[in-house]
Amino acid sequence: MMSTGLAQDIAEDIAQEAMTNVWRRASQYDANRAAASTWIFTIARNVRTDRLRKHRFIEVPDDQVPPEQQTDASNLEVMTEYDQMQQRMKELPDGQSSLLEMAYLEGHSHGEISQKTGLPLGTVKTRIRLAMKNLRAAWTKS
Amino acid sequence: MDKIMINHHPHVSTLMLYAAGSLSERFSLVTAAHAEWCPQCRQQIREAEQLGGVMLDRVTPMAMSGSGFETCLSAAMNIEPESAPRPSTGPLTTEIPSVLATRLDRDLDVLPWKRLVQGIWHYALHTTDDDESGWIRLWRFEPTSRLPHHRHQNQEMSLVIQGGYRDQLGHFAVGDCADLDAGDAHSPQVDSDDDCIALIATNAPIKFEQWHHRIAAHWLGI
Repeated sequence: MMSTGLAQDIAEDIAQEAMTNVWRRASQYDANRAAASTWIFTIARNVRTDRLRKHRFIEVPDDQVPPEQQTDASNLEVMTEYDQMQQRMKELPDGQSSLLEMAYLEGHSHGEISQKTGLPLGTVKTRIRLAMKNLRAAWTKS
Repeated sequence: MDKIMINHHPHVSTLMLYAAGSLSERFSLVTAAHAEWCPQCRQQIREAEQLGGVMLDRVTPMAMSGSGFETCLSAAMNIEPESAPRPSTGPLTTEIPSVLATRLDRDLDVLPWKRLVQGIWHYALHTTDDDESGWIRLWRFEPTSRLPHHRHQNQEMSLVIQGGYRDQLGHFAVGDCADLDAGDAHSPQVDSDDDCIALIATNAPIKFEQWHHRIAAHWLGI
């Protein structure tokens, strides 16, 4: 959380609440649906939204999705996807990975990323789309 | 609701910012409402959340201050673990996305709609977003009504909840999401037999082509 540029006390406060939630909800973690890091990320994201954006993260409710549309992979598949994405991430050009860091770690919106980098908004969106395409190719090609 | 065919989706970067937790509340609401109806976008959100896990793994760990760590540990030691929630036995689908339904205290038919002009009604939703120039509203357009030609000065997202419309970008039916950028211009015309209802969010006022529409829009706060 401190890597996000937040003041130490706020970052620690968010990290503490996130870790407390991880502890409390450990039994809800399903290894067949997501890697542990992904699950922890979503918990930390929700706490950060609560604290900094002052609203609850609006989740797409699981139980509204008909069972035939729910994806259910095995833990092996989940971890293979995760490892491949991690590998692809290392190969991503700096111009793309830096934008992802601003979005994920620093919590910046499109407009803020555009202001920070001096890139036109359209370029920011195109580069993000390109990054996602590169990362997703990790398993669609394999 | 019956199965719906969706042809228009939010931009990939919008889905990614939503998953990253970096989208404003109003755009998050439109994105989540669309995703509730759209398996393809749910899958992309799942992938973007996985990327969040990868990003988290890449961060070099930093030590917490001594007191921060102790507070964290003692908090963890003093709490009871939550048991897994029971699977919901409620209905799997709703007529409108549940993330939207929970924000309305009554059915769409009996919302206290405000009349904007002949054939066009709206209902404001409240969010904690702190910029004053943006808004999120439900809009209700009577059949054959048309919004005058206008240009967007920033992002606008709209999701069709009922009925449909046509504009320069194509036909938009229930579940379709238009994710427009600054500079995009259009003049949507309702083409359904019933009223068209859309959830629309923007972070900047829209700019009408005709001066008299611009003056009216300024007064009406759109």
